[in-house]
Amino acid sequence: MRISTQQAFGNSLNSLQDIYSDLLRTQEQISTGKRVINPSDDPIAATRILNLQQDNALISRYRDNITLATNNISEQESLLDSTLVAVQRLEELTIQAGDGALSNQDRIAIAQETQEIYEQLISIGNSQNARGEYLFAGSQAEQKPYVVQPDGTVIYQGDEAEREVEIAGGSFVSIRDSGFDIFEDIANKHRITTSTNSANGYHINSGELVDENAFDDFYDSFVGVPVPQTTTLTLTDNRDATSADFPNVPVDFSVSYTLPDGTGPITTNNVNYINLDTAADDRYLEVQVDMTAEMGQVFSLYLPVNEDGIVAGAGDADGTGGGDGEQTEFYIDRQETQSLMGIAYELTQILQEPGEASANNKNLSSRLGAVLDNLDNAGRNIDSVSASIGARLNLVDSTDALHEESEIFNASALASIEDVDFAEALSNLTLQETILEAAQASFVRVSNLSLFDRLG
Amino acid sequence: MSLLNIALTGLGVAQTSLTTTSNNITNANTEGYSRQRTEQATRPSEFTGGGYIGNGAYIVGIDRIYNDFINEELRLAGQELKENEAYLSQAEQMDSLLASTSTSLTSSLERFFGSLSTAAEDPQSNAARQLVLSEASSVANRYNVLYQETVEQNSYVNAQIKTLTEEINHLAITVASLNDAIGSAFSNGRQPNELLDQRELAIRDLSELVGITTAEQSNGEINIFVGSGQALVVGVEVSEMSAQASLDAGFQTAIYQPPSGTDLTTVIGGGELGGLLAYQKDLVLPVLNELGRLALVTAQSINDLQAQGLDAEGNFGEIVFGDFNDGFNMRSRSTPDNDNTGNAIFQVEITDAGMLTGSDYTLRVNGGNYEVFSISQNQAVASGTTPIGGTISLPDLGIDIHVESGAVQDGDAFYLSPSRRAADQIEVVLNEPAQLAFSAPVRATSSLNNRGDTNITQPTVTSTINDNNQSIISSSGGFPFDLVYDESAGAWQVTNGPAGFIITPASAAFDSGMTNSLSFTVTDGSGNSVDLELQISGRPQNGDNFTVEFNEDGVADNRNALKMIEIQTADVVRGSAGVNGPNQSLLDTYGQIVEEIGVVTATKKIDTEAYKALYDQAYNAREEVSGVSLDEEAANLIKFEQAYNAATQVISVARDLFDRILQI
Repeated sequence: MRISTQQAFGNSLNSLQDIYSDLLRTQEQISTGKRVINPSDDPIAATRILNLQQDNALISRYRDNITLATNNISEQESLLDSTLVAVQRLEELTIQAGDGALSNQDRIAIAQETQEIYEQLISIGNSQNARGEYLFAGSQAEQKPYVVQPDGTVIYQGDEAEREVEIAGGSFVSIRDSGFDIFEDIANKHRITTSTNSANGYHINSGELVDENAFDDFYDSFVGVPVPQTTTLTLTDNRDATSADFPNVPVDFSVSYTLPDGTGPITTNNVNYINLDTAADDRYLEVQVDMTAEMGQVFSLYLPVNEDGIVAGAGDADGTGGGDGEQTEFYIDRQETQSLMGIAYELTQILQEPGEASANNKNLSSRLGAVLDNLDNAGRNIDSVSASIGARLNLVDSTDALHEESEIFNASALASIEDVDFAEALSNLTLQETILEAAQASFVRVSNLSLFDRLG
Repeated sequence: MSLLNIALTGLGVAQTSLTTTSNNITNANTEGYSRQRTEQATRPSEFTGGGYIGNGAYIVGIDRIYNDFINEELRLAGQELKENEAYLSQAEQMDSLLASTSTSLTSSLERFFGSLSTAAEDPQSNAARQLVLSEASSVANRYNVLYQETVEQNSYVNAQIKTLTEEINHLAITVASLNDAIGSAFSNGRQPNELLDQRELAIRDLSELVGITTAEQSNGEINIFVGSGQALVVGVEVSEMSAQASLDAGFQTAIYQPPSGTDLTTVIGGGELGGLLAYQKDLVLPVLNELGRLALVTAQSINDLQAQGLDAEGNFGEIVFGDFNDGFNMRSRSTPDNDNTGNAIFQVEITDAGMLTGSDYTLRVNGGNYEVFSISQNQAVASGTTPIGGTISLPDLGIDIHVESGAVQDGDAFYLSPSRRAADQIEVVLNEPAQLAFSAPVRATSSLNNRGDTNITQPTVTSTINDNNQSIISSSGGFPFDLVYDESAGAWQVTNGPAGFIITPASAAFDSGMTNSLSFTVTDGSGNSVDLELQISGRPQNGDNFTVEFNEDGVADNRNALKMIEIQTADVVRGSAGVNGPNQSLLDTYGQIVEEIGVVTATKKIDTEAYKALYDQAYNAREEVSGVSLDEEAANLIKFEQAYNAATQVISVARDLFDRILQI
C-alpha cells in the first residue's frame, strides 16, 4: 500500500486527537461524577434522570408538607388535650355542685372555678399559632373566632373550612379542624333550651325527651320557621284573687301553648300536680306538663311554696276565671347542638343562681343533670376529633415512610443511571493515558523515519 | 543515431523526471495537489541491415495521478460530514442550554410550584405570597432567557448562512473561471494538471458548504447544480444565490436565486448550509414554538385560576402573568408577505393554550378563497371565501384569526405563528402579594340545629368566573342561600335565596346514606350564571339546613391555591395534534423537548462520527493514489540522478571513443 507523507502525519495526528478527546471526556466524567453530562450523551437515560429528579422534587415537597402537617396537627392535639382536661374538670365540678346540701357560697365558689374554665376554653378557642393565625377560625383566621358578648356569652364567628395540604400525589390531609367541629357541633341531649319570664320565681326544667320520633315529627311541621322555633307554654294562675281567703285557696293552674309558627294558644289538659300533698314541706309545687303527644317532651314547672303551703303568685285579679289569671310564659327553644363554651357558661350561670330556695334547688339539680349529659357529649366529640387527628398523624407517618423509601429508591436509581462508575472511569483514564503516551512516543519515532535523512 | 544523441535523450528524460520529482517534493504539503509522474517512452528505432537499433527515450507527458471515483467519494463524504458537523455544533449548544440546571425550565417551575405549596400551608403569610410572585417572575424570566438565547444563537446561524451564501458564490465564480481556463487548455489537447487540481479543490470546498451535483462536459468544463437540480455553475456562467430574511419575520433565512426568483430554501441539503438550514427547521423553530406554547399554558392556567378565587382582600384575583391576548401580542403572531398587494392586517388570538399544537400556519388568498394551512400537519385546516368576515374561528387549534384592518387581495399570504414569541412576551404583572387569589369564593356552613349525621364539602364554582357573572358571587349578589332537607321528598330544597336571582334546581334529589354530588346554578336577572358543585353525604334529617354563602373574610382558605399547585402535575398541554386535548403536564412536555433535542444531537453525533470515518477512508484512499510520499520521491530522486549520471557516463564513453579514433 502506498502511504503518502501527509497521510502518515495526518492519520497519526488524528488518532492522537481522538485519544486525547476520549481522555478529556473521561476526565470530565470523573470531575463531575456524572456519566451523563448533556442529554445527548444518552437521551434515554437523560429522560429517566429528568423524571426521577422531578419525582424527587415532588417527594421532597410532600415531605416538607408532611413535616408542616405533623407540626400543625401536634399543636392542635396538645390544645385538644387541654380542652379535654377542662371538660373533665367541669364534669367533676358539676357533680360536686349537684350536692343539694351546698350553700350559695359553696356554689359561687364552684362557679368561680367554672368561670375560669369558661375563660380558659375561650382562650383555647382563640388560640393563635406562631404566625398569629387563629387556629380554630376555619378560613377566617384573621379574626378571633370567639368573641365575648356584652352579656358574657360567646359566639363563634369562624366557619367550617379545614386546611388541607398535599402529602402525596392527589392525596390531601387536613391539618386543621375548625372550631365548629371541635367546640360547636356538640349534640344537645335535650335538643331544646328552656327559659321563663316569671316574676314569681317559677322555674322550668330542661325538659325530658321521652319520644324522639314525636319530637322530630313536631318540628318537621315547622321546617320553614326560623330558629329558634320557639314554643311558648303559658301557665295561667286561675286562683280567685277576689276571694277573701286568697291566697289560701286551692291551686288552680291551666296550661296552654303556642306553636313555633304562632298557632295557638292551644290548651292542654295533660297537667299534673306531682307533689300537691307534700308541697308545703317540699316548699315547691311541681307542675308537670306532659307534651309527649305533641312534641315528645315532658316539662316540670317548679313553683315556690311558702311555709304555709301557699304557692306564690297573684292569681286571677278579677275572679272571672276562664284563663284570665296571672300568666307566666315558658319558652321552649329548639337547640340541637350546644357549644362547649355555651355549656360552661350555662353551668356558671346555674351555679351563680341562689339555690337555697327549694323550687330553684330542684330545678337546678335537674338542669345540672342536663349540663352533665352535654359535657359528656362534648368529651365524646373531642375524643372523636382526637381519634381523627391520631388517624391523620398515622396516615402522615406512613405516607412519609413511603416517600422515604421512594427517595432511597430514586437516589439509587439516579446513581445507577447518572453517576459515573469511578473504578471503571479511573481504570479507563489510566488506560487512555497509557495509550496516549505510547501513541505520542511512536509518532515521534515514526516521523523521524525519512529516506532523506539517509541521503547525503 | 549516435551514441551521444542517445545519451542526450537520456539526460533530457532524467532531467525532466528530476524536475517532476522535485515539484512533487515541494508540493508535498499543497492542499489538493495530485502527485505527477513523468511518462517516458522509447524513441522509434532505426532500421539497419542488422535490424532495429534503439534511438533513446523521450517524454510522453507528465501525468497527474488521480482516480475520479475516489475523488467523488471524498467530495461526497466531505459534504455529508460538514452538514452533520454544522448541525451538531449548533444542536450541542441547544442541548446544553435546555438541560443545564442553571437555565432549564424544570427547576424554576418546580420552585414556583414549591413556593405555592408553602404558601398554601400558610395562605396568610405575606412572605410566602411574595415568594410565589418572585418565583413566578423567575419562571417568566427563565422562559425569556431560553427564548433570547435560542434567538441569539439563531441570529448567529442566520449571519452564518449569509456568509456561507457569499462564500458559495465566490467559489462558484472560481470554478467558472477555472472552467474557462481548463476549457482552453483542453482545446490545446493537454491536461492542465495544476488547474485541474485547483478546480477539484474548489469543488470539494464548495460541496463542504452546500450539497452539489456535478456533471463533466466533453470540453473539460464541469457544471454544478444545487438543490433539486438548480444550476449554480454552467460552463463559465454562475447563477448566484442570495440570502434573505424569510416570510416568518426573519426567524429563518430564505435562499433565492435572484434572476429567476426561485426559492431554494426547502430543496437545499448537504454541506454546512444544508446543515444550518436543517437545524433551523428541525430545532430552532419547533423549540421556540414549544417554549412559547408552554409559556402560554403556564400563563393561562395560573391566570384562569386567579380569576376563580379570592385574594386576601376578598376580591377576585387579577392576572399574574401579562395578558397574552393584548393587541400588540395578537398582531405579533401574524406577518404579511412582502409581496402582498392588499393592506389587511391580521391578529391571532389564543383562545385556549391547551389546544395549541405548536404548528405555524399560512393563510393564503387565491381565486376569491382563502385557506389556512398547518405547516407541521401539512394540511389545510380552514378555508372559505373572501372577503374574510371578521373572525376565522379554529377552536380545535386553540386560536381565532381576526381581521384587524384592511382588506385582502388575491395572491396575498400571511404567516401565522401563534406561539413563536410567547416565551419572550411572558412577564409577571401582579405586584401585590395580597392579590394572589388563594381562597375559593364560596363556602358552606351547617346549621347548629342539624339533627342528621351529614357532611357537606366546601362548594366549588365549576363555571368560569368572568366580568359578567362575577357580581353574582357576593353577599349582595346571588348569595347566601339555604339548602333545607325535605325528608318526604328526599331532596334538598333551595330556600331564602336573595331576591332577583334564580337558583336551579329548586329541589335537588338526594340518595340518603350515599355521597351525593349536587350542582346548582345561580342566575341573575340579566341571564348571567354561576355553577356550583358540592357533595353531601350521610343521612340528613328533615329540616337539616346548610347555608351556601360568599366566602367573606376567608383569608386563611387555601382551596384555590391547592388547585394552582395541581397544575404542576395536571394534563394541561396538548401532546400532539393527533390527540383531542391537553394530555400531558408542563414538565413532561418540557422533558419531551429536552429528550427530542438530546436524541437529535446524539444521532447527529453518531452520524458525524460515521461520516468522519467515511471521510477519513476516502481521504486515505485519495492520498494512497494522489498523495506525495517523500520516501518514494527520495527514491525517485536517487533513481533519476543515477539515470542522469549513467547518461553522462554514456557521453563520456562516446567522447572516449571519439578521442580514440582521433588518436589513431
